[in-house]
Amino acid sequence: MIRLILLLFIATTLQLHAQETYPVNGTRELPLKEVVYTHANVQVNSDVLLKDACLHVKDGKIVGIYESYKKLKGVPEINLSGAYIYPSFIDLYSDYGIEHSPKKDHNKAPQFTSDKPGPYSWNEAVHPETNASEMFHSDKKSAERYRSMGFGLVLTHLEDGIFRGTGSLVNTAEQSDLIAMEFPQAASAMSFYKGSSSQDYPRSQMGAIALIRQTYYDAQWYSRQSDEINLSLSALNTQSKLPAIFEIKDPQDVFRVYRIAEEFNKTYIVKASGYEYRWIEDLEKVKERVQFILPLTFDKAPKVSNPLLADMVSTTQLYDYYYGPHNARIMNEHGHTFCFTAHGLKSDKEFFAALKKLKESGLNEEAILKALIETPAQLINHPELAGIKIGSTAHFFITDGSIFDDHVSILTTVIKDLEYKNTDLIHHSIPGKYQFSLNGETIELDIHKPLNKPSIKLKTGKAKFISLEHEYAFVMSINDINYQVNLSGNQLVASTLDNNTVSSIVLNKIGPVDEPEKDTTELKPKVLPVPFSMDYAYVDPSESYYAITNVTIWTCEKEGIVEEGTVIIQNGKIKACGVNVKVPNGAKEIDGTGMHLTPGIIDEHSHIAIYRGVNEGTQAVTSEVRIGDVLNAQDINIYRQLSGGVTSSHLLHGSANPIGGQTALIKMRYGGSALDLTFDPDFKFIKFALGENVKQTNWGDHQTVRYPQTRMGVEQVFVDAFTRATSYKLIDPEFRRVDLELEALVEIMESERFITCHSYQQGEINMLMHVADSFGFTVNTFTHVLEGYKVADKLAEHGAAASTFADWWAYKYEVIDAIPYNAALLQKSGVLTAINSDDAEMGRRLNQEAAKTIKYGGLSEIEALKLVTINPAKMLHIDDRVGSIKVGKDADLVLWTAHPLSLYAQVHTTFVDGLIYYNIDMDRIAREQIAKRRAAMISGLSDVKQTADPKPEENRMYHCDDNEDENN
Amino acid sequence: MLCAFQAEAKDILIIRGHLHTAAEDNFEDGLMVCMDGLISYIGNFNEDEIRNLDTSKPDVNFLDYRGQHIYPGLIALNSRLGITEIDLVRATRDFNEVGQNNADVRSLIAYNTDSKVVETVRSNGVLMTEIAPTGGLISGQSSLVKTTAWNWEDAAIKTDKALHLNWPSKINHRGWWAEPEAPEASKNAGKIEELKALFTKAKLSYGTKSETDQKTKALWPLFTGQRTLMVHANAASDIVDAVLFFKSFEITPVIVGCGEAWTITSFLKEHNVAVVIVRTHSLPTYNHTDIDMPYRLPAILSDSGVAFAITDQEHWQQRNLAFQAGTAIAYGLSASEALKSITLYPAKIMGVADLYGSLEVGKTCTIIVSEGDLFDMRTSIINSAYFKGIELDLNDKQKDLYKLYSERYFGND
Repeated sequence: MIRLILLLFIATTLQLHAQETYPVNGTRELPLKEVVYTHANVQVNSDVLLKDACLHVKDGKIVGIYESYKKLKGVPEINLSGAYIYPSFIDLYSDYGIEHSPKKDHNKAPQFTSDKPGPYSWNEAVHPETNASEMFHSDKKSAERYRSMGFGLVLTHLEDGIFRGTGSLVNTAEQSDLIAMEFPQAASAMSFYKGSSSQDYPRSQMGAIALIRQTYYDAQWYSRQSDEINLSLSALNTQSKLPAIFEIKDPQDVFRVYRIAEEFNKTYIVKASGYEYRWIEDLEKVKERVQFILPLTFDKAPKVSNPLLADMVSTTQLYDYYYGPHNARIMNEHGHTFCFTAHGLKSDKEFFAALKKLKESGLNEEAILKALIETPAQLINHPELAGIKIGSTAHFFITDGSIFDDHVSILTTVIKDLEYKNTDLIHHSIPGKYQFSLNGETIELDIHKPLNKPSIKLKTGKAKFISLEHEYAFVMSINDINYQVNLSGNQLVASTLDNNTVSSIVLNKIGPVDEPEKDTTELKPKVLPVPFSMDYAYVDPSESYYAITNVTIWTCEKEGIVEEGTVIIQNGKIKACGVNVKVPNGAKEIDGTGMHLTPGIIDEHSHIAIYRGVNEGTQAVTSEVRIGDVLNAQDINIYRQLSGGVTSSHLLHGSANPIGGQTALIKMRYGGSALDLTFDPDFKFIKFALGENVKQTNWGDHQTVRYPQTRMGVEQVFVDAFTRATSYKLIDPEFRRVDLELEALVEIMESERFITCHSYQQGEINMLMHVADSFGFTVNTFTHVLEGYKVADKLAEHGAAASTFADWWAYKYEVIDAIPYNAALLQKSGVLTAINSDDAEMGRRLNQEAAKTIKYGGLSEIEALKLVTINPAKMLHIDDRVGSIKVGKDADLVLWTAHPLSLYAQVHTTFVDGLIYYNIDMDRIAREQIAKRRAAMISGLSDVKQTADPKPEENRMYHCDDNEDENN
Repeated sequence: MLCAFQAEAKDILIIRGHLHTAAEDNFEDGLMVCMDGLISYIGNFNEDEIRNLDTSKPDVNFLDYRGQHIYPGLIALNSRLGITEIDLVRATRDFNEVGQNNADVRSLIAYNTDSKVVETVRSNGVLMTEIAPTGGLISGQSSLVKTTAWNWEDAAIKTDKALHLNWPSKINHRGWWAEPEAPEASKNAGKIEELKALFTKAKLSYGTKSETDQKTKALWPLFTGQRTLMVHANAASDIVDAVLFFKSFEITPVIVGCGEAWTITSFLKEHNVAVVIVRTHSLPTYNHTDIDMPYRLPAILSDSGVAFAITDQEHWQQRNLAFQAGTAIAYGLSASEALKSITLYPAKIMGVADLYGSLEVGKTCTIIVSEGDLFDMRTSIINSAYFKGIELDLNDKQKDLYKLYSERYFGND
């Protein structure tokens, strides 16, 4: 029964061909205004496929969909004989038709503000005033590439900078920009990358985040004021209601985007890394605010065939290779909203191969189609663009098979009333079964897709396929005579040449080729070789009740050392500690005979677990940047610190400028996401720095412009900054423009935020204390403070703490008078003193570094241990929670195999919040597991073409002085 | 007799204490007799041995170190001591010459015997050091020197003994020493070709009368074994490449660095290659590498029969040399092997084991005396040191500053 589904829409005189205002050169040519496609398999949306249906199109609109054949009088009919019609795919992440501004010649001296003329943002990477619609110019080659993948609609934007302006939804028609433009301002776009901006700021990812936050606050202020005209902020406010697309490159960036979204009550469509599977459990938290555009570029197999170099391939790279194609499937299973982008794909071949991989991963066809059709339309609030619906604009394409079949090709793309034939695929109708007669013989010829191997059947005599000449002409031999076979008009013709005579035979198509029996069993998803696990992440949160017995307890409290004691840990806290403590039922007993238990080590100065830049450093004052914005939870150094008994590290901004960034205090909760690492959300410290680094002494000959270049200038930077902060404080918070830089300084002056200051020479240490005194605050900690011993009395009087190295010196001029007796002299002078690492390697031997103060300066063993436990805890104002073994404190503890200050001691177990994050035996098991997983993944590559070079691990390691530009 | 710079020992030293010999036996209550700077007796404390000596002479000294620990003077290989003072002050950098091939440059003549850094290393027991140039493809020649001397001539123990060469790695190492980043593949084939050309030219010209440049001549002693080739390489594949490369020139190199030696121990043993481990206090190469691999490396090499020495790095850091070896003890190396790795084995690599590196009859009385266990920082306090029987001044700039400020804050106590 032929049933008319709907035919409400009556074609009117409405001209969709949207170029009315343009004059025509010559006489008009019009496309076919009305057509009905018959015998088509119509995928009306991701869920519904109508087999052998009809689609009626008129004036660029869908006017009818019929579930079976319907003869429409007077309407031209195109018999698709089983071809498929799909609604146009929509790609939300593209720079189609947008020409990039070339990277400017950057003179090597620093550039502090934007070069752009006009009343725009101070920062060149902030250009929300950019409109893709004003830059867009349709481009035949790219349009063809998009159409060959089924994308009729593309959201294009200027893929450059941090605030990138608005993106336009365009179609992939190529005649004219007027026809192509669908929605000039369909979305706004952002990233963490400054791109072509030649300005120095931001140099780090945390700088980029601070810039985004400050810009949002500036926009809020802008809407309340009328004194200033700033077209960037004005544009940002205008586009605030548009969907916002946020490009990221690292899977952990999602959490960084999420923090911004929370702060400003926003939602983002994140153009993701494709490795989200690594954090899939943690991504649950971001669901409310983040939706995804997933890439279809999957990693190539890494080179592992050389046994001497296979170790260079990281476990993560192996996982990414296997898990990349499963990423979308895993996201789908966890209920995330996502669409796909062709960004980064070079050809339709790659695109269809990617779809096949998605299907092999176990993602079903409906979900794949949904991510190409409905989801992208919904994400940009244009659900009407999705699917084939009566009354909607014609955006669809025709394929010679299901897009999930092998060798599928897109034959035609229809955009409104325009039709784009895939000219490369002129041969698409060739495959089939043919018959012809030659000398009375009936010959059958099967031509398969692709056209490279026709099989020829002869009743008598012999025939064979000789060669493929080009895509639609081949040579076959029948009874030793060679024929050229090619498409001639609508038919196939075999021709041969003999003595100046061409003889031709017409081949009649009698139907499709006999398909080989299709495997009807369900496609089994490709099984992943091993479950994903971060190397060495083996914490078991369900085990949290322990009794450590017969152990020597270094309490770092007035109780001193308790011999043969017991410590009970439950629910993350120390429940009991002493000699007469009974082991409660249910507690897992750890026999500590011969072992020592100490508080977890606290590293006051560390730079581990930081992503893309430890220094902003482009300005003398960058108190707006926050290390906490760029934590890298996958840094193996978190685990390595655990193996040395470190349970908390204070992650500092580098020392490139006098007022650096806000620091982060983390607990070593290895295995969780960055959101889990934070010690306490209310922790507020900031890094300051003095001396050679802030003077840019060792940065080369070009770095002689940024103020300050002398210790004299350093003092005045502080005076100026706190003077500005003082004035800022006086403005009514209701009216003032939120200035993140000054907010942090005000917090310092109000003793809500505390300084840890990189320092070496006594003069500058003295200077900063004077500046602090004059503004009424205290410098909480001087870190490094290698000449602290020269002003120990002054430090004690000011009330500053000192966090120093055990024995470092002679690496730069300002440490020429450093002495390993520094800690002992400071401690004995009544200064709260700690030993820190500033170094991922030394961080895991801090007990030994503390022990050096016994050798240099004769501190007692207990005093020495306190230098890395309770003293840094006090310095960081967290001694109410950690730093000693006391009932009620956090169970951050280390069990040592020997005297904890001895070089012969190894860490047996490290507890954080009462959970075992490192254990000597579990570590050995983890090694074996890692080796097995790697072996399994590597052996799985033996039959695969290995083309990817070993990829570096993502954990860059930093030191204070690292100051390269990482934000391009 | 406290005279750091005296030329010859005239005295007889009778030393009693816990002797860690870096030889066959250790003696808990040991006795060592030294005449004119050479050890003439060593063994358990024994009254008879003293009685046999003519102790009436005025230059006989009894040194009673009972309860203390006596070790051979430590030898720090591959250091920058005295050839740099403050790394970031360009004027004090004398270890890295311009260019790729510096086979002819000699670190010895740049050695600053008055360095303030060297004295802080000496006061932790490092009495000798091999000062090595760095940089380029062939960095230059190193010498073994004393850490107490009037001038570089006086300092020289073994002149121009080794040639340092950086093997062009297949892997591009990035980051800085304490914080290496994950390496990436590099393309260095051209540099290996360059080396091949240099060594081929040296081999062809060696023993002929053909006029040759000084860089090429500097390679000649490598063919006789007079000069040791120290090849810097870390990755297993690079070490294998380097060893096989030089084998084709009949040179057996010493590998410096050798972080991944644990993966190729049989190969190293088979080719008789000795290894200088630079810092056990290092991070593992890769994320998945055993976290304690650098700590365990010496024990692994020792168990596999691969010859090795241990060193710290660069200049001031060498004062922690003993702790680099100590960490190896904590991770499976025997204490006696650990001691040898910073005394006898470096002496062997430098070709001076006939006189230095262990406490044996006939060798020099070059010793350090520690209050407690040398390898553990809690107890490693060096009280005295003797070079060829002459007591050394163990004061340094840092001790002076400590004294000055202690007195300022706490008075004389």
